[in-house]
Amino acid sequence: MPVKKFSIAILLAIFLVLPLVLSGFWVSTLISIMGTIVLTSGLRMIYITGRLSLGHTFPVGIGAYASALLCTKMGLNFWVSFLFGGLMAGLIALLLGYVVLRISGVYFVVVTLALAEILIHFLLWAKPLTGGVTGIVNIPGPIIYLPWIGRFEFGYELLPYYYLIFSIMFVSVAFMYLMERSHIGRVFHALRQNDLLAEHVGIDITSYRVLAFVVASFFAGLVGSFMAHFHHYTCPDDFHVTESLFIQIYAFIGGIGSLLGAIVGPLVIISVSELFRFAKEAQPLFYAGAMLLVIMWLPGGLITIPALLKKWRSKLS
Amino acid sequence: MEQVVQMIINGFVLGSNLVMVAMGFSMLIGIMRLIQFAHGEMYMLAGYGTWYFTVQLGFNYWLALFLSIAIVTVFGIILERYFLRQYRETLLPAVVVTVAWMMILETGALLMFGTASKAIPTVFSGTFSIKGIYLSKERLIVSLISLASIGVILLFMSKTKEGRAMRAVARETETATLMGVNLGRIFRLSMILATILAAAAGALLGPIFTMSPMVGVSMSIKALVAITLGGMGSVGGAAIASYMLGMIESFTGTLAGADFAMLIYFLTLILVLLIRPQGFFGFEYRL
Amino acid sequence: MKKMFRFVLDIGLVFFIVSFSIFSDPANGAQKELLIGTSLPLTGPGASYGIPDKRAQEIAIDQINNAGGVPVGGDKYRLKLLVEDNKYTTKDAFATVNKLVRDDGVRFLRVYGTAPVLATLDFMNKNRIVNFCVISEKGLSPKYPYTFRVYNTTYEVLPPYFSWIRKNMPHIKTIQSLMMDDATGYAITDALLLSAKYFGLDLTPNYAPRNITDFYPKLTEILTKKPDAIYAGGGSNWGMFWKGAREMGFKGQFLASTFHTEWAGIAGAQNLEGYVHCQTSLTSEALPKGLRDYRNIYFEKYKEEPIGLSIWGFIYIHVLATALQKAGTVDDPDKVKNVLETQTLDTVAGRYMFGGQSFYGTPHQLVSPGYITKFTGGKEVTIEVIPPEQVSELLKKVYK
Repeated sequence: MPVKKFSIAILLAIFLVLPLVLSGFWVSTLISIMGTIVLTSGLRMIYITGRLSLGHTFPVGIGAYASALLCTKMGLNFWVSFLFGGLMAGLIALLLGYVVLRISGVYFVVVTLALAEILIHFLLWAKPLTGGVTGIVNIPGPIIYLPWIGRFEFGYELLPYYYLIFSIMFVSVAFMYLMERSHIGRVFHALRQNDLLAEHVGIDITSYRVLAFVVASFFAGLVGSFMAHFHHYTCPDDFHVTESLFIQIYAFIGGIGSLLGAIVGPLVIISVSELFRFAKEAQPLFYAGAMLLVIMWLPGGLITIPALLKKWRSKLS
Repeated sequence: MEQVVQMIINGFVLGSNLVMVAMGFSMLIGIMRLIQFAHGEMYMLAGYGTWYFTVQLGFNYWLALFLSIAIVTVFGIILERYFLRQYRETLLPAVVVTVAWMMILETGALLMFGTASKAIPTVFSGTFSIKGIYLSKERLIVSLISLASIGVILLFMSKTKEGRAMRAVARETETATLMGVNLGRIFRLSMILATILAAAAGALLGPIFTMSPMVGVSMSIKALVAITLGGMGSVGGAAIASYMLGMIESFTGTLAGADFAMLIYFLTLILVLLIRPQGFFGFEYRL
Repeated sequence: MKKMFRFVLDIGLVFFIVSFSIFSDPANGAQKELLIGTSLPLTGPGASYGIPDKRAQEIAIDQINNAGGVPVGGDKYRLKLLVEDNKYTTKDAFATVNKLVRDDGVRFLRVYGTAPVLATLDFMNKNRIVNFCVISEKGLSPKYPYTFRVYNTTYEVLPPYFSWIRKNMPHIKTIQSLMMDDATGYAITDALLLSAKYFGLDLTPNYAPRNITDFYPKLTEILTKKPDAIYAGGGSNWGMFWKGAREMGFKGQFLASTFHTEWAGIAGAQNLEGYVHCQTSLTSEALPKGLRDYRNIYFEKYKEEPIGLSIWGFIYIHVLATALQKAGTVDDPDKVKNVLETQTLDTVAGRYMFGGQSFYGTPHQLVSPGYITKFTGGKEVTIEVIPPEQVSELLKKVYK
């Protein structure tokens, strides 16, 4: 097996075994990280079509609430609600996409911020439907039927959720990877580099952008739904606009040039910031300082470190 | 009827609150092509500075105001030179850097000054009231100062050599350099002006609105909405949009509740962007 | 020369080792350690509440440890506080409570904040963790048998307050209230409406965002209705509300269930003259000495006034310690739960009991005295104290 594929397999194996040895705190942190990886990958997909979104909490929130409401108010089980959450997020992205993706550059950025804010204020305002600021409590977790064991309820166990989000992450990232590698992906990159030219060649640029937007939103919705069921609770405050900013920042610091960067970003930054938890009130200082350091010294992101090290080593020899 | 007039007056005051910060933000975007998420923090820091000098050290209010503005502006110059200038014309890297600074400044203020909101004692007390419509002297004076600042800035931008140079850089950076404009000086100048405006707003509005470390973020977002509506790069547009938004907030806030007001706020923004992406007065802004 | 040096070094080493063993903790009887956990907002929006609460808990724990620890069934337990930052978000609340329960093995927890509590109530109860929640909504219920509340919500303070207003300010018939439009604000309004109804007052609710900066639009709306009194309350920035009301010509009565000392500076003491509220300042003689001592310790250590709400952190530790002592065990949550539900606890912080059966369906709410405090002559003066038994009676009547 080629080296790269082998090391990825090893990495995956490590991921699968980790939760058995780590403390509960780190398992739940890794669960958060994996969810975030799906988000950064989706955000990157939008980015490579030439649009920057700072409002990714919009589809996440839609997924969370759609799923939570379907589950608690209509009594449907987790799997149906989960899928529904993703589909709602994707659908709304589709409806808005054609309209909103025509707007370019900075203005598009502001629109995404506005959408994220609109979601929050809507959730607060539509109290009879969404529970307003209190949110939705006691959202049940998944129930599956295993051979031999029979009915298994995830409940408050951490491990089942870990493996579930791992599967979700694996499927989403693989899907986005394959999409990027295909012809569609090439069109995406073309759109970012020179969309006028693409248009002149006859490509329907808005449709392609919408595709990326919908795919990213669908997976974001799935993540939102997962988180709502994992925490058994969701409220509008979970989708604060600053979260959107952070997701984009993780993607960028990891290295937005490649999908691997989008994976590395959340993994490294969230782990490091959790390590700084001891600083309590001062934690954001370390966090922000690290961000500044990375962006000033590693403009290509964290994944450029191996390449840089190689360069230094060759310079020294 | 009185209620309507009061709402108009309140809207005007809300707009004045925003206008100085929005104009500065607009300058930075227009001239440096930079979304400065930490701009609201300048406002916050100057407010805290004024509090510190007046309440903790007992200085005269105007002296405190002057000192705070001066200190924050110096900080702004350093920030621009070493952290912002190299990220002009970029979107994502600028976001990362400015958000990082936003966090640093906010946490720093929290650690230094504690979490409780701070109050700066009133400088002009007393209220004017005409037939059931109320306006405190303080707010009136601050609103007038804001209006005056709009006039000053617009005059500066159109009549002086520096101002015209700034506008030239905003429109066509390369051509401006060819004509002999020193970019570095212009960037520094725009940062100075923008920061003075934001800092002055913070220091002036401190007695009216109380300061907390979180104030910077909401100010940044509101300012961003204002400049987008007004049109990126148009300082006058930002001013007009600020007052418009002030009115929206005042009317919907009084009549329909705060969440609905914010919904309208942002929906308006999206609608305007759909119809006229460059805002009311902006020019095409390609990145 | 070298030998001399070596000799001195060896003597020094021996001296060090000997003194270390003499001065270290003697293993007497059973000096054990009990872990107590707390998940509160130390960063982010709730920090101004979480940080004082944490400090209050630490002060109480130091007091207990300095007195030798909690005597439980023959052993003495030193209390150790494990603090986690829940940043007032669901995600961090879930993660921190998980950590405290699963990884650190904590059996007694205090979770601070409405969203954090709602996210973790079920989990803690399923794991039989005796927990003390700080949540301004109703929260308590028979569904959560191990959850107690050492914290007065507005449901607890309003009945004695309104009863006093009815008796002492009979001219007040109409009240306009302004609350934050979040969970806390809605809960407070709900409590207001219940008490207003019982005492025959006409109360109209209004809402504004918690971090509001300009009250004028809202004040315009409220003051046109010309109420006899206005009732409001939020964070420190709400001082502007009172200031604005006077600036707009309102001459009526100010009512509230909180008071922040900064407000005197923000609104101006003369504007607040006659303000009446139902908490008590921490320097008031009406408070038990233990609580006044707490305030002094806090002030000396941190050079700022502790916020009123922080006393609950202090009281909670003493209540828990006393309950553990009476239960005679730290390992059986049901025994501890039983003591809390049924016994009166005399603690350093005062005398307390739990009640609230009729309103919550379960007696897990702390009953404390009612206070009426007036702001006059530039400071707060507690003008009446209503004993807990009377408060309990009023609560039963209003919430039957």
